[in-house]
Amino acid sequence: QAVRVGQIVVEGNRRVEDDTIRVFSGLEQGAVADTAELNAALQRLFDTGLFEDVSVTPAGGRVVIEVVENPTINFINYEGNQRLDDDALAEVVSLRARQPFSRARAEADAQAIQQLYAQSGRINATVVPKIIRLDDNRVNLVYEIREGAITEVQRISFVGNEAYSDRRLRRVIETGQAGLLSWLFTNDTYNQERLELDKQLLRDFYLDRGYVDFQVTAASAEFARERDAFFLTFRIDEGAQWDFGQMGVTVFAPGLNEAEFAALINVRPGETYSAKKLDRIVERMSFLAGQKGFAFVEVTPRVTRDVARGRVNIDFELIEGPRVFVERIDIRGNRETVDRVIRREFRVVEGDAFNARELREAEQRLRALGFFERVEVRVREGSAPGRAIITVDVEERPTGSLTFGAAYGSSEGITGTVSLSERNFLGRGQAISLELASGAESNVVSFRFVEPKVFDQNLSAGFTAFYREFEYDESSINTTRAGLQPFVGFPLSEDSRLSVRLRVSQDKIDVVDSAVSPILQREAGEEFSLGVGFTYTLDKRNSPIDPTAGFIFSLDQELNGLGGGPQYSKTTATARTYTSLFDEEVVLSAEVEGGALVSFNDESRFIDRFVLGGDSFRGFERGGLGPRDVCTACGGTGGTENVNDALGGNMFAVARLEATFPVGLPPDLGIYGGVFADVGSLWSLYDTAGASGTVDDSFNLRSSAGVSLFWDTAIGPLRFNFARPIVKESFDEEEFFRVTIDTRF
Amino acid sequence: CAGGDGNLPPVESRSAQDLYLAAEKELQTGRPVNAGRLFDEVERLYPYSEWAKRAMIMSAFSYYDAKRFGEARAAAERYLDFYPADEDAAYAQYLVALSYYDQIADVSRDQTLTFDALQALRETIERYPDSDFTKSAQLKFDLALDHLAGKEMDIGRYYLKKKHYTAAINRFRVVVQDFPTTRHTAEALHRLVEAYLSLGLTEEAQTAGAILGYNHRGTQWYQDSYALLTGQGLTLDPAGDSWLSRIHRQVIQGKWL
Amino acid sequence: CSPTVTVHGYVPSEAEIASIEPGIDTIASIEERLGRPASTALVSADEWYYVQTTMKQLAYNPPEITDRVVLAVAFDRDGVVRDVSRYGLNDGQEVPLSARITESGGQRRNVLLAVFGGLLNFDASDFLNR
Repeated sequence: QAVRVGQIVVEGNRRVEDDTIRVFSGLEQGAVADTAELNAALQRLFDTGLFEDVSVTPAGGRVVIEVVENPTINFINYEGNQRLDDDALAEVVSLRARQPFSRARAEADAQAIQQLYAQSGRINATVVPKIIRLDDNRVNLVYEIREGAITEVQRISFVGNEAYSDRRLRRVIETGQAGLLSWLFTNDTYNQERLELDKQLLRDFYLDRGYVDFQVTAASAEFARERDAFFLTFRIDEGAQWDFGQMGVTVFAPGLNEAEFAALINVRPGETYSAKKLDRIVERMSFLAGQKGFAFVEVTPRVTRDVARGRVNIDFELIEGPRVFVERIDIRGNRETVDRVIRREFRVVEGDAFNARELREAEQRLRALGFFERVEVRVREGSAPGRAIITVDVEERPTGSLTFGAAYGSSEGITGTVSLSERNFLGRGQAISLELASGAESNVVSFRFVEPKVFDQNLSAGFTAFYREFEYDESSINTTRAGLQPFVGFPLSEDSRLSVRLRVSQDKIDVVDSAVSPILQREAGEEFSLGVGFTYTLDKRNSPIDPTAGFIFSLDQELNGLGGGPQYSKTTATARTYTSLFDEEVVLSAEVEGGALVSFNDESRFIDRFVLGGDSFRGFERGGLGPRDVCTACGGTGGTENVNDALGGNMFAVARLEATFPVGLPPDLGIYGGVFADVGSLWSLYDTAGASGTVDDSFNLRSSAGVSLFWDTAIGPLRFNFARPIVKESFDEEEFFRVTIDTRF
Repeated sequence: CAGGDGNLPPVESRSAQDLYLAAEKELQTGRPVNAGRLFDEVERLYPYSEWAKRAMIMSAFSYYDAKRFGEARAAAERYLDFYPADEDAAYAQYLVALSYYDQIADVSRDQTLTFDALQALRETIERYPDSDFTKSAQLKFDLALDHLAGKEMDIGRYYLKKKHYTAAINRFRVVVQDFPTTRHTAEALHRLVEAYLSLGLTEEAQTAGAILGYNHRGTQWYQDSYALLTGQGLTLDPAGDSWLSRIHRQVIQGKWL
Repeated sequence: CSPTVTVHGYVPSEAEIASIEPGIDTIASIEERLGRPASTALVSADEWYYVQTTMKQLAYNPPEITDRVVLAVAFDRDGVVRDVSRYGLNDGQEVPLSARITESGGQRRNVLLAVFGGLLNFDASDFLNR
């Protein structure tokens, strides 16, 4: 029954004023209101979150609104939180001091805190909100937190894997087991997302090795109550290993000729099936179709099984897809990065045909930039049918980094490096880095600036400014080279790249020891040198981080002496190939490296010549092998001091064979071993008139062998080398032990 | 725990008025953050006093003055929760809008804050139509809109430079159709002339030129379009287009064209 | 190294263009057979422009346009096709773009903030190389 709303009387309010409550209730003085309207008013007042209890009752011509206000929060604090500090918790909590307290929101905030703990791996954390009543209807809100221990993954085991061992599959999966420094690692805590990622990693691994029917049938995690850890078990069904069979193309879109597309199939029947290779072929085919103006053709591989011969026959069908255009590409979340730096990674442009594959590739390219924590390219219906709007949501991550490294070699002692870099300078995608490396025998300062995409094309340009000072006790001289090296670089193909540079530098050799070889004495002095050079690299390794197959080749050529100074051509070439045995547990690599310096005025200087030893020829000190001016009581002012100076060489060639393998320790310790052998020599000088008469600069073969121990620690990958020369010259200087921490580049 | 010099009695025991006046002094002596904290104490200790209401709006203003936009917005929104119909409510709403507006990033970056500012400014104008902040809210609303048009232009110029004329045309059309009153419309029309001529669609170029002439005859953009359309070619300062100055402008200054 | 060729935009196939009959085809029949174009006339939506551009890019130099087809389909007031015209690459002019832009404000990133800002918020995992 409806009632005329005469006067609206408000009772029980202390902080919120009568008018405010009348406005909130939405009741109009003098209007007619039925029970539904009164209930609506009640609901509206509740929704403000200001009141613990509300009643709206008509009494005679008047409507009485009675409220009990929510207490105001005086302070919020958190008890029992060690791992996450108060600020981190405050961020996820919606209630603030001085706001009205409501039980519902406090419960929701407690839930939010619990969720935050779950994400950082503490599944069994509990959070209970408690109120302490104060006078004046005020309360203190306290969240009582019991964090519980981190839920680590104790052991990962597999059921149903015949082709690959548990150890190998563990390496495939990112969730390392709870290692020694587990509280440091964040990646071995158990969370759902990571488990999905692990399943995907397993699937990709098997699909690339011919196991078409591979499935993770179950991934169970038993929770070990007492040790607060999980035992992860993946039940997998490998299925048979298949090879590629007959491959063909059927074109349903008029105007495309099948032969052109068939030519793109670069896989021969009998080769082991690989999802990556198949994907590559589909990619090339759709790109070719695009180039021919058939923007809407979709390439779908139809698979039929030849069970008898264990082969998979694939027929690539080219069908005309629906005509959908890209209407807009909207980029969001780029608070630092400039719009253009993201947009230029898209080959598709607004108004082009919609192409899902290109969007996935663009997403990969954006992730590869390393600027973003998360990249999501999503598509939604545009303003008309046949129109698609692409939204690119990015979440940026800090791109500044400060890394440390150190190396110890018995001849050079300890050298420490500090490098400070920013990969996304001013959000323009430019990279700047400053590196300081100093040690007993060397000081290097270098600053580097790179603009990766000049005019947003695949042309990178930049410069390095450097100051390099080396003390060669073994040659009693110091060399200093300070200069500038601008460069440009661009890709020649998918796997190869060319970089061209100009080097302008001031080179100085000064003698630091009276008993110095006259050859080096003559080379002392300062020169201005100007040179141009290029580096060509072809990288066909299957992974740049830990390659187990493929090869990498690089050629570096430099012409120097354009503006006077030493005039020479210097060429260096390196080729390294990888292979693996025992399902990629043992990795073998063979490397051949050679270099030649050809002078146009039959003279060369130590600073330009090649020096071997230390890392480049294990078992020998730096400069420990190659032509050497050695004699007793033949040098120095009075001709009474001994001379023992390494002279470097104009030519060098080295072959390095290496094998790395697990040493039976649990893989999570990250310790594995290696053996290696180096064979080669350093030879040829222009000036051989030394203190010991004519210096022997002929090709004298050296070789050495040794073992190494690798340990992936939290600070960085540690490498210990123990090497012993086998074939050497009497005057060579040996080096048995060497350790380096590889800094991350 | 709050500011104030050491020798004053602890906050708990000071009266609302005493705290309020101390906060006001802090504000006048150029310490807005301390002022904000003291105003908060007034509200915390004496929520039901008349001072609490004043303190809440003053705390919002102090934090805004100290460019602490997050805290300013929180205080202003709390004021609106409790006193939506009060005379300072308009100012509180306006402070919320300003706290977004002052953080708007330049056009080449994420514009979520611009949308938030527009939203809050519209609420200021619609909920408090005749407050004395409505006019400046209206002005800032237009500027924020102008900023969104600037973003469309930034992307349009990117595609224009890369010779993707259809993409560029569609972006400039968005400016002409959805942001007609902004400062960018004139340039958008000139860019349309440039893009249509590059495609060879001369009538469309002339249509765009005509609209430019009709609405924006006094602008330099009109002169540029007129020159293009009547075929005399655009006068370009010689240094403007040398290869090196383009590198300098783009790599060092980050300017794009 | 071979240049990469990319095609942008979309123009209906020769057969489809030939099938357009002025005086008979309408906006609906064109849209149904040829699809809606990426760009329509500025003022009156009575002119549809299909544009397809072929670009060639060799290693590092900027992409150049090797071919462009612009198909203009004009409709009369009742939405019936009036005429069809086609423009090629050479109809387009090489237009010098004005380098001036209408300035808009907003918080710019200043150099110092960028260098140290970037450094300040590096996260510990980078430091620990993990």
